Amino acid sequence: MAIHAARTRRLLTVPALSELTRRSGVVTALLMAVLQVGLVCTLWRAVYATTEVSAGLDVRQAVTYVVLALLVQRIRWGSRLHSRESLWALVRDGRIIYWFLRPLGPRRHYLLKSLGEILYWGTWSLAGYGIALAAGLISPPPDARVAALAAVSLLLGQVIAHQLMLGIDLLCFWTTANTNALRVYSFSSDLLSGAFVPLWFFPGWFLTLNQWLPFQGTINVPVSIYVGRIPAAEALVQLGIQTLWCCLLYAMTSFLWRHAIRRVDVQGG
Amino acid sequence: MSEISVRAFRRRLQIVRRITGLNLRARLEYRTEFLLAILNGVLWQASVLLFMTVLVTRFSGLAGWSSSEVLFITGFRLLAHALYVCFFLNVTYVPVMIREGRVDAFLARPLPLLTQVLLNSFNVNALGDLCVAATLFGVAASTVPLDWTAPRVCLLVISVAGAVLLEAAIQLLISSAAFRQSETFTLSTWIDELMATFGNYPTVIFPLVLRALFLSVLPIAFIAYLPASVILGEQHRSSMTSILGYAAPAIGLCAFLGARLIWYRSARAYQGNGG
Repeated sequence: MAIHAARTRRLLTVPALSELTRRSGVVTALLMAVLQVGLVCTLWRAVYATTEVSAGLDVRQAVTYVVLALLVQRIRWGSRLHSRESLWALVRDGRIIYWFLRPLGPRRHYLLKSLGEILYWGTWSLAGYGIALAAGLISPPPDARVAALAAVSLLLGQVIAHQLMLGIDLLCFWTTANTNALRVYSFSSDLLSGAFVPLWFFPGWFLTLNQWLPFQGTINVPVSIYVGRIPAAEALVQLGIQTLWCCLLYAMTSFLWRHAIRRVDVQGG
Repeated sequence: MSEISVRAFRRRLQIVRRITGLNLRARLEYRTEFLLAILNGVLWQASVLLFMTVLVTRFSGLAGWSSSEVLFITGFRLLAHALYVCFFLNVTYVPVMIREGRVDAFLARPLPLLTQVLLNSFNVNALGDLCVAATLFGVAASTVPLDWTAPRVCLLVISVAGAVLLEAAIQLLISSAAFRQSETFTLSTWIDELMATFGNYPTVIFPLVLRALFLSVLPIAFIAYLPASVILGEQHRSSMTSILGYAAPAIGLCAFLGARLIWYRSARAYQGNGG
């Protein structure tokens, strides 16, 4: 049990340690985040210069939304980086075979790696949230209840995002090359989750269609609860929908893992 | 031009054509991946377009610029970006090529290093990029009240070429750090996203500090806003905007030549991948 816990702890720290070995990467990530937040705040304030309210959001809510959306998107930043340890790179090199030879199962290994990335990038996002709040760039949540609902929604959103990413990654067991599938997924999820622009600005048919997809649960729902665009009364319904998606996606990824394991195809020599 | 250099140029062109053909055939081996790459290009450009459409339909213009004028800037930038992706995107993959040892192989061949990097693979997503960009620019150009005279068309072509070279120069400078064992892919991806997000607007909407940034260290303003201002006509021109707008193509060319020089100097310092 103690060995198991120690192994889990070590694996959780691997993504953070990998990033921290490149100091230039850390500095770059920090500068990128600061500049990006500053730019989006400026852009949206300029956009709202002659408008008070649009799509149910005033300038304060809109700026808070886009900054929070950026910070939440950054939690999954690790999965977007061109990494030698990504599933598709492992399949391509043939190193995927080691995942099936280790005492730790491939599914658990993937989960711990993903958790490690979320912990590392999530820490940065949390720090960014604190700084943005202290600097007055974004508004605090109206009360503790809304804060708690937004936090739970964010957690469920991260579970959904993890399952979706896992589903796309597992495609490489069938397609071998899935770089463009990953990119298509990244753009689609950014668009449909509200990372590009608050979903509330889109036409009604788009919002209706998006209701049937899991993406808005990753960013739009938690951030909209936080800024008050989704009232607290409606938030519980949204949390229920997010939970349902978590279960459905878990079933889907379990099915894919079982079948992926049967068709491990080592490409490398 | 001497006969030998004409022959050498033709030979070089033939090699480029053959390598490009080979790369395209290699990409076509993975049919689904090929189609997804085109879709990737379409989605990337369409996401920028969608963002702009939402802004101009929900909000009434930006800093005195009408919706059709803002769309013109966007169309111009997307067109320049699509051409950049077609010819120069491979520069951002230099860190990957170094890691895989391909640069070491390139250095042993009798073709210039930058040429081999640019010819390393065929960027299929450029096809999707170009489709969306050309469509959008066509629509945007038809909605603005402009007479497309021969001088204006020439100015457009030269400005687009300058924008392509400037974007290539920025990425060349970033990728030159890869020869000194730095990981630059994240930074070049982020700069690309930054240009896609903020390069489509009139720079005047940003505060002075950011305007200075976009006119100097990160010259996004020279890629679309300034050339578009000059093309669109009098109402958005100050004397400074006119000067900078007309100078943008030359700035793009000089930036590219300078960045290329720095890139090759960094390549000379490359010490190999080891192993």
